[in-house]
Amino acid sequence: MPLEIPDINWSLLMPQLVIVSTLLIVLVFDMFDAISKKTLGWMTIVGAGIALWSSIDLLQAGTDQTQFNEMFRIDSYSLFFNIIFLVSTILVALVSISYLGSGDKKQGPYYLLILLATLGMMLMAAGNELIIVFLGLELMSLSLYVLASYFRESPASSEAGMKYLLLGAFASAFFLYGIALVYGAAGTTNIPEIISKLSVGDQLSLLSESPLFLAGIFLLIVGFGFKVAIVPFHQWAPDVYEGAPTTIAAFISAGPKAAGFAAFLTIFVDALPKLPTQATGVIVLLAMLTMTVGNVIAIAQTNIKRMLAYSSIAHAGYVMIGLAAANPDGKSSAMLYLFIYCVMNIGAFGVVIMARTADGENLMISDYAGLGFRKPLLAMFMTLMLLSLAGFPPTAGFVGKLYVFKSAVEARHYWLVIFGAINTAISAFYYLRVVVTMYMREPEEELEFKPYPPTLVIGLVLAAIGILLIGILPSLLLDQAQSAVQSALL
Amino acid sequence: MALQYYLILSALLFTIGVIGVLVRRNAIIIFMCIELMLNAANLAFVAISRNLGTAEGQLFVFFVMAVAAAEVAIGLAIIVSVFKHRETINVDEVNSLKG
Repeated sequence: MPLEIPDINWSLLMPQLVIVSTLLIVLVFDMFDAISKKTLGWMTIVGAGIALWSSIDLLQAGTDQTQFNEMFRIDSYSLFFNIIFLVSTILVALVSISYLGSGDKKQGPYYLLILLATLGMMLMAAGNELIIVFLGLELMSLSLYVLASYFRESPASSEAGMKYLLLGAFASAFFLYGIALVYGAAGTTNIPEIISKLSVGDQLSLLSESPLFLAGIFLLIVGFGFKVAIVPFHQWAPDVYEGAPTTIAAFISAGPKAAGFAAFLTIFVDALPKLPTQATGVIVLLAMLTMTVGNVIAIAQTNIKRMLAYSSIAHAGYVMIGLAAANPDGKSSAMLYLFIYCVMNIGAFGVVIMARTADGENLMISDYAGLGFRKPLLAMFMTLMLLSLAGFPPTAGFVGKLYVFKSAVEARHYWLVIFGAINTAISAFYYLRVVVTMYMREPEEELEFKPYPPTLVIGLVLAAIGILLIGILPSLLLDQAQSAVQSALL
Repeated sequence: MALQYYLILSALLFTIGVIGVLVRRNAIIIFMCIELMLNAANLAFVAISRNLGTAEGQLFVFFVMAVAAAEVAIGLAIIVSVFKHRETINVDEVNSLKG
């Protein structure tokens, strides 16, 4: 039998190809000592920028195709997620250039791993086959384990890497076993085929009640739950965020969470209505738990990185509302929420990096006392990011929450909306406490702050503009997200 | 032989792996238990693939073996760097990050 090689349309794979070539270029240039270390960071930004531009280009052309024997899907859904990942990568690289400085540390591998992780995320969002989703997940996770422990001389960084590795690999094994069981029950690993096998005409098929299949689906939820840090699978997140380099904490909290949800949404939004109602019940319960536990524990935190970690857990809960709604609006509002969340969370971590002194980072919330008068620019950025995280209008965070809640009302999940609203009120307490500390408390000791690095300010200004722009003109993004979901339905 | 025997064996191996991860405190033993879980999944894949007569499952196994090898390389490197700082890889003693 002759081997058939499918036609590959390379122009559709531009974003991925650009990222691969950028990472190879970074790898080669890292070997020359004459190259300034900051150049590598700028190369990353330019590469991710070109990939971003070509993703937007493909999105506007309305691309909707599969490649590699239907294993790889290039449609507006995966392209929208590409934009989320690439925007996060660019923001993180901008922040990293000043964070790493021009010290002795090797920086080639750092940017290389960031690009590899980005590639993994893009694979996850584009995966039309569980094997691609798994490989993307592993490519992303393996790069992140190394990045979390990148500061080898710091015990905290190594420890964060080890915790992330052990729990991440544990979760991957669950995910893989879930795939095996789903494959055994459905006889295929192609996601649309699995979903279509769940129903025969209007009736649900036997598959949707087969114990093997439901066990597989349950294991997939556990696997995804670890990766996107939803309660009760969240324990790794605060430790990893605290110990990892702050830029990497920002990166882990943004892109990988969006990537996890990208694959989670592809499989579950379409599958949930065809599964027994208990499956939806489990998702609703997880969403409620995640929001409540994340927000309540965040109140007790004194370390700002840990507070942001618990807040990011709570935000995963809000995205889960969109997932539980399991309707087209739920999917598009979850996509919108993830985009907004990535920008504002990287912004908040950026401000934490900006508040560095000569002795290192100031991570206690009490260190922020009096910043409002002594560092007005920094305090202003922080206030904007925190207001957006808390969901105050006219910031993007408000828009994101509004659409997520709206989709849940349409799906008649009223309890979820009530829980979400109560949680938003709880979260306002700890976000505003930081703002109050900055503007209304006297500092206990005078801290010598480092001057603002220019690249960091550029990154923060971009994030701030994004948050306000989406907050005032939400249709810019929402229309894209909605058309992405609509095109998948046709 | 019927498929269910293979699936039961793989479920047993997977459970042993899970219990090992939860009970043992040595990072390397935990890591070995995770490998056991991955191999349990591999066994399920091969058995199902043989039963269905499709090649997807066997293909999956090759990728999983490659991924597991990469995971071991990275994992041991990280565990060694933790050992350099603390002279222990007992996960209960490596707990400076707490809140």
